[in-house]
Amino acid sequence: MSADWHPICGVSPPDWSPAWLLRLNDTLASSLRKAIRPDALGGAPIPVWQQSRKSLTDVFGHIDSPNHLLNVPDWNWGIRLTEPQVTKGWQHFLSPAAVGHDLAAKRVAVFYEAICIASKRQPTGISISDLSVEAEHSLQIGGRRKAIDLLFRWKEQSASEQNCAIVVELKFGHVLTTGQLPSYKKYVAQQFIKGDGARHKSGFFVLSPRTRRRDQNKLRRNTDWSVAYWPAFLRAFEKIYTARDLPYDNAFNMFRRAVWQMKDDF
Amino acid sequence: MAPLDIPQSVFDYMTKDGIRSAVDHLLASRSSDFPEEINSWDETRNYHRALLAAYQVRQEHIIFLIDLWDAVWGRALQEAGSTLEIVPFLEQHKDDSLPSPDFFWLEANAHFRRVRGRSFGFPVIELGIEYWSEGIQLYVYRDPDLIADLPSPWTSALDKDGCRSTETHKNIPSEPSLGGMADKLVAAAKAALSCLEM
Repeated sequence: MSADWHPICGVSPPDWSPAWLLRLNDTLASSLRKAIRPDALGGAPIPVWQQSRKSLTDVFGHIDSPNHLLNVPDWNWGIRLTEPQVTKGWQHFLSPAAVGHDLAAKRVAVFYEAICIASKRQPTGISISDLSVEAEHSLQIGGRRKAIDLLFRWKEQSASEQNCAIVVELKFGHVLTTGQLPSYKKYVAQQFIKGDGARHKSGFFVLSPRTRRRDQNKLRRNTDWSVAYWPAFLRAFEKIYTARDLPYDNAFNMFRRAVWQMKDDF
Repeated sequence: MAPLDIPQSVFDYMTKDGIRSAVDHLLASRSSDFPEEINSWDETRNYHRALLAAYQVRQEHIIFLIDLWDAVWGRALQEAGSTLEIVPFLEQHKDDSLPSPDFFWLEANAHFRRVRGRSFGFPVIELGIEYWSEGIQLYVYRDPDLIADLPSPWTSALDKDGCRSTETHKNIPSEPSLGGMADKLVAAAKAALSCLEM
């Protein structure tokens, strides 16, 4: 049993009366109540719909825009577009011959930005003149006929005009063939990219479903090529496209909707 | 009873194609699959907020349908002094389409409850209500085809599911407030009940 040492050292013991403890408890509880948002205690309410609606826009872009593919009715023709059809569709809707140079250049700029964003590349600003968009551009490699899926060529509008090119290989499950990427790049760089700044503006892309490991290995060996996955690309395209004041085009919107509906294949 | 309004989330879903497609897309995605359209952790955060928005539409729609049933069929049963009573969940079978969240959502956004008469042999009737982009519709199903002719606004022919329904085109809400539409629906429900209980 320990002795009471307080009288010896002249210190009076603290007042441990319960009233003080209760007051302390009240003070702490009150501070806690103030610190915690009231709705966290009483079961969090469902967010206000306007906030939720904004979160849909954050993900998908301006879904109220008539130009957004999500505003096009779901069509069900019981068919699935093939890879060449999708390629030719993009070529058609982005081509000056089909939609006029001005609109085609604006759409190509959207396409370029979207594929850069989806492939985690920094888009460089491009200003397009003399645009041409080709599907299935044929070339000979080692005596064999090959075709570049989409080839965009243009002259960059600057003091010294530069010849730029973007190559896009569109895939829906087909694997990349060995040697395809370096030979395409070499061919396009030699034939179509001219000027000091043109390399910087040009780009090589594979647009595909999530790749298998062996395709990833091919891409890793070809660091000039960037890969973008279809759903991320389409979502980026819609966000940029609907943010710009571009004319309503039901056919183009339907086409993109059709590609979007292929998502189960992605 | 306080006037019943359509939740703004549900109204937007019904009237705006873009919102409907986005919500349908999010709800169709399986939670076990990686959503390929997202590309970074920041986007993952936004994606989950959007997913919450989609769930919000679904849950608010389900709760709205339950409230709407109460406000229309429930009120009609009460005001008509009906002897029909709701079959409790306890007495329903596994294949009786008990209202799971998916069932509510996938069954064309319809909500029905089974009722029965107190007299022996009175068949079970389904009293349903549906809110879809085509409008608000009441329907009655009684198995087998024993439904008497119901007065207007009920259709004279059975629909493809063997139900008798109200004409929808007169009941398309143009704003979230139902206004006088609720009274019209209650009147139609009462008209049906008076025939069904005979």
